[in-house]
Amino acid sequence: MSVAAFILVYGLSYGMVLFIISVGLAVTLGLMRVVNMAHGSFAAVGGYLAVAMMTQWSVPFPVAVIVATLGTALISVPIERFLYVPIYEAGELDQVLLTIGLVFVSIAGLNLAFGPNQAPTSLPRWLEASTDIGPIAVQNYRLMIIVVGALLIAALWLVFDRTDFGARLRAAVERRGMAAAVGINVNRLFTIAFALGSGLAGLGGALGYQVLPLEPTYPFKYLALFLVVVSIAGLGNIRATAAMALLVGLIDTALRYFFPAAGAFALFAILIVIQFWRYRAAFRIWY
Amino acid sequence: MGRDRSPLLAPPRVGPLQALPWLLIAAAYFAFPSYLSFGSGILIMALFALSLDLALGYAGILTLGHAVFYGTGAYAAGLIALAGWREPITGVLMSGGLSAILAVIVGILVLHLRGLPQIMTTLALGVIFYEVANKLTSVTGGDDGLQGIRLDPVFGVFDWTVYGHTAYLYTAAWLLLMFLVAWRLTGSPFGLALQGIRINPLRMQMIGAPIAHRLMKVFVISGFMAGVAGALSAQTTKFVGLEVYSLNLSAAVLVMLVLGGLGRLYGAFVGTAVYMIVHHIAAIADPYNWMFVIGVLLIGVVLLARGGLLGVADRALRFVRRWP
Amino acid sequence: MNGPVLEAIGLTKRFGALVVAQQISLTLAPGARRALIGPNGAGKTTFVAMLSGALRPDGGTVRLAGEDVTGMAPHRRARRGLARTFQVNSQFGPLTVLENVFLAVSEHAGFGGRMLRPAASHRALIEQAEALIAKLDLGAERHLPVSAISYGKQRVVEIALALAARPKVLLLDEPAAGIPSAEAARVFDVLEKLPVEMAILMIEHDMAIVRRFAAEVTVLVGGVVLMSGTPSEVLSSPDVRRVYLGRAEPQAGQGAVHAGA
Repeated sequence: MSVAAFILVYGLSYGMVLFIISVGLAVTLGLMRVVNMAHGSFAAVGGYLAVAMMTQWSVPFPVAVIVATLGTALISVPIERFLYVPIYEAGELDQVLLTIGLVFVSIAGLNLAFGPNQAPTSLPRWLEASTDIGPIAVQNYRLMIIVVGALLIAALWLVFDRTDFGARLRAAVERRGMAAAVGINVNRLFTIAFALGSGLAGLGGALGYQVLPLEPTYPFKYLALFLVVVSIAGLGNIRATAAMALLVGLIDTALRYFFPAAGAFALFAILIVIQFWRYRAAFRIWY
Repeated sequence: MGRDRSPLLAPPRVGPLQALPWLLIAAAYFAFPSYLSFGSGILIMALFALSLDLALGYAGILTLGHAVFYGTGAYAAGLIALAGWREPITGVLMSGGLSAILAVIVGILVLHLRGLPQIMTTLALGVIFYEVANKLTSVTGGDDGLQGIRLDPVFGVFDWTVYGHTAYLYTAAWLLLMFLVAWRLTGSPFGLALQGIRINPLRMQMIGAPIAHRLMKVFVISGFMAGVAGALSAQTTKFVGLEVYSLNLSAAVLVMLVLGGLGRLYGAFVGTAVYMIVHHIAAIADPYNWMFVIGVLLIGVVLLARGGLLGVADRALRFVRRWP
Repeated sequence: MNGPVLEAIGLTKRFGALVVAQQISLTLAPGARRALIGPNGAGKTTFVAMLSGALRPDGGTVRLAGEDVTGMAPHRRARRGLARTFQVNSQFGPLTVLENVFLAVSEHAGFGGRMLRPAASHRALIEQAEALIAKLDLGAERHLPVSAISYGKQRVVEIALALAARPKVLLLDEPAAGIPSAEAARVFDVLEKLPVEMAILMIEHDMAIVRRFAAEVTVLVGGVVLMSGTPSEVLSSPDVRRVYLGRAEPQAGQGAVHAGA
């Protein structure tokens, strides 16, 4: 297939995986104001669960992904109750430290459960095969990711902008005390939102197990990437996160093809420039 | 409850508790002759953590990218030696100086920020340095790193032995020197002002403090010290690899410092020693076990033991003193 | 000294489409005792923020002892004799009262940047801090962390931090706010003992305090100065009454205006 088509398909699918994982971080970071360095751990758990089910019990891919997503969301509940609740009101440093501790524990745990080597990334036959879309033959796996991602974007927009739940969550974040006073159960809302975010991370990890291969250091390895996507997009902004993730996927794929020398740091340089621009007022009155 | 003194305005104490770490460092030299290179590694990391304590523990600068100063110091020292300048002490000073200059540039980019934006920008800078170093293989040696670093004897007299005797004492001397600087600094009105800036920057401005200049000064000093640590690493291990710029290292030094206790200088020593010893012992069984222990300790520190291990020790001491 | 010590000339501030302050002008002579009153959202805190440098005005000038400081950073204005307190306590909680006041004294004396000698060796500064603490009757708790003392005493520390700089102009933002009445006397005492030549601008809601301490009152409504005058002139003005009570005539049983409505 042509270069443009290649970049489009692989860039979009890579971007979709980034989006699906990062949107959960956009929720916890942007909406719940928790600096969650352990977000990658939930993605890794989802990915590993799915791969384990497929390789050890020959569970079909769609079932494995669904179970992995729900499993991750479920696991997140006690973690949120016991470890995150105490730090919601704490400073950024405490949040960074606790979640880094969680990352460490999760890496050790993943290693214990699944071994130190990279998990298998082979695809089931029906995903390995390609479908013809016009003149291009697109691998089903990549196509599936793009379609699922698009559906997810629509679904999330619906939930957050159009439902009671979304409105209540936004209210609870803006004025926690006020929201509680009008009868919104803030604690339960946060638990649900956290489970949603972590479940989405698990979904992304499971779907993207060939795009972002799984290994014990996964939580730390891709963390910077998720954080940068969410930070550039602006916290809590789901539409922007989607746009940003897709853009990152496309640009990164294109760069690897045309300028392998540029490497990943272009993205981080962009972040620095954007942060500088965003806070230029603070800079001006600083000196 | 009553208190009879203001600790930050009390004359600095030099007593048995303050001398203890140095006695231990000296004792280790004699007690563990076959572990001296490991010991040097701990001293170097302790210096790195000390530099971070000045920036984070005292001034409240949130950085997940302090490795940029360490790594620059390391590569600078390595390249200076490979280029032919083999005098170690001036090599360290020049490398530290380069890191200090870098700190001015980084400072301009991050010091006016707060919270997550500050964390993210420092993190991004670290990644950029890593990637650039990765790509400039002709300069840094890429994955293979800088190898075959050779140095002249210290003061022209003390040869670099294979077992690391010179390296250990050399590193300990630098640590002592840098510690004295940090100690003086934090006990001065400037040190008190730094804490004020950390606690309430707006108020500090309103009482007339030029907080931008103060933060820049401490950041440059911190960058210098981190650069010295990196340079020592290059000189003692005779090798510089990409990991000196890694996010892993920036996170690790943060963890070490917090484990020991922020804002108390010796916290850097305690936390580093505990971290590296745990790593060493647990890694023998499985390379990832130590992460579990450290992770749990870190979670414990945040939830229960604010002030790290030294904070716990403080409370234990106060409890003991209350007994008749 | 000649001439006014603080001048605000036509200060204006917009947040997007909302005009929060419009052409506010105000002059303080040395020794002034002026209260700034007005309903919530009238722009009082915004105005004070523009005076102290926390906010840049969109229009207008601020002059401190004749010098144009409109674009000057807050800490530079502080060094030129402007001090302020905050409505919500803004202090160094984990540090002791003495350490708090020492910080302010040390900055004012220009020693905040000194790195070489221990803080403890600057005896003159410590003594100055101790003296100020004694004058404000905080001696008993000087070695306690500020976060551990009563709210009323914290409000006094708030004023101490401003006084340590020996300011020419003091901006007080509701100095007695939130203090239980039993403790309020302490704050009033402090306010009464302030140096005569110091110019003071006080944001206040409590009309009793206004009547007790202010020689002049400026009323701010919707970002605009409604009127200026002596306390009795202002508090019996029908315009001001209307703003606070919604009607111009006093009703039976009602004295002059009492804010808090």
